Amino acid sequence: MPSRILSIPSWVIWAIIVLALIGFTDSAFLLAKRISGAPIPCFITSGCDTVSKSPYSILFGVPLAAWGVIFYLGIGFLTLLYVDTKSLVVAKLIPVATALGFLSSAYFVYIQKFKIGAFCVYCILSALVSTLLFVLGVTIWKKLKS
Amino acid sequence: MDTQKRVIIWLSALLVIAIASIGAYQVATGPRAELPRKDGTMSLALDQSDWTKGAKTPKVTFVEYSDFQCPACGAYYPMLEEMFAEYKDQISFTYRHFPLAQHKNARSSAYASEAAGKQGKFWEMADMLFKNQSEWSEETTAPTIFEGYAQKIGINVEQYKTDVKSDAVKAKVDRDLQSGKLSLISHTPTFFINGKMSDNPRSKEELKALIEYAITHP
Repeated sequence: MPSRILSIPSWVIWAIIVLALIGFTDSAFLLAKRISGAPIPCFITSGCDTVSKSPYSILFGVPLAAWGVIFYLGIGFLTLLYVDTKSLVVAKLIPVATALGFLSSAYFVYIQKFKIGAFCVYCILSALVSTLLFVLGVTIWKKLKS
Repeated sequence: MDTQKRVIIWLSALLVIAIASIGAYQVATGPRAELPRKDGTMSLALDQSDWTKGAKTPKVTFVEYSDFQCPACGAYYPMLEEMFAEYKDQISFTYRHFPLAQHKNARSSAYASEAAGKQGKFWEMADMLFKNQSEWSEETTAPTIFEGYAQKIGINVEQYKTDVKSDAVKAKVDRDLQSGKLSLISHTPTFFINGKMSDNPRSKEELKALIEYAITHP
């Protein structure tokens, strides 16, 4: 099969890697807090503990922080895999994954606003990062379409 | 892409992830800095290492954060002593150090009181320091003057000289100072009545009214 040359601008690649790293560190921090049971100091917003200890913070028996770690690792892995292989399939997976992350984040923000009534600044950071990743994902998607 | 480049990419990715994980873990589980109290409550509860006098089971705890060189603290001293004499069966009185940076002998006087305290004469030294405040406040030889006070209150001066330089004494003063900062103290003296920061009374009558109120409103 002739491989189609697809060029994703390198700044997009870099931005995704940096964002994934920020998201990963953020999630890893929350996960470490969860495992150690230490309270989470909050600034700007209030209620980091309320949010992170709420029943909504677990999905399929796994803390959301762990899902975050897996998600950002996955995004980073896909991006590096693309850099390595330039595979079209991998390039298609990146926008799909970022869309998934964006939708999940939107849902978590909704939960924080309407179900818990408190915001956790680290979770908002994660939501921002996934939103930016989604925007980058869309630019890749457009490249693929063109 | 050649193999070497690929290895470098994946290995650096692993390294960065490892560093980020360790960093996140360290920050998450590291020693927690205590946040300052903004609600006017005392950041550090009273304990055995505090200098506390008065009732064993007090109806009211009265804590003073003070600096032996601060003129206002010196001015409050007789008022506080009079109040304490009247209410000592009902209240406890605790002295904590809050040496201000602009007072050059604030720290050395705090150390002097703690060193005297090692020989059970903290209150006697505090009394000497406040009553003779003007004598040593601006003197560069204040530590020598304090040795004279140590002699006057009848403690072992040689022992005092060792204690006044000890880390334990410094640590105690720093502990008090730190707890005061966390309680967001902005001036000396600052009083905590039953653990709540109080406005400084402007007269003996106001001070007594504060105590009376605290006794009747536990």
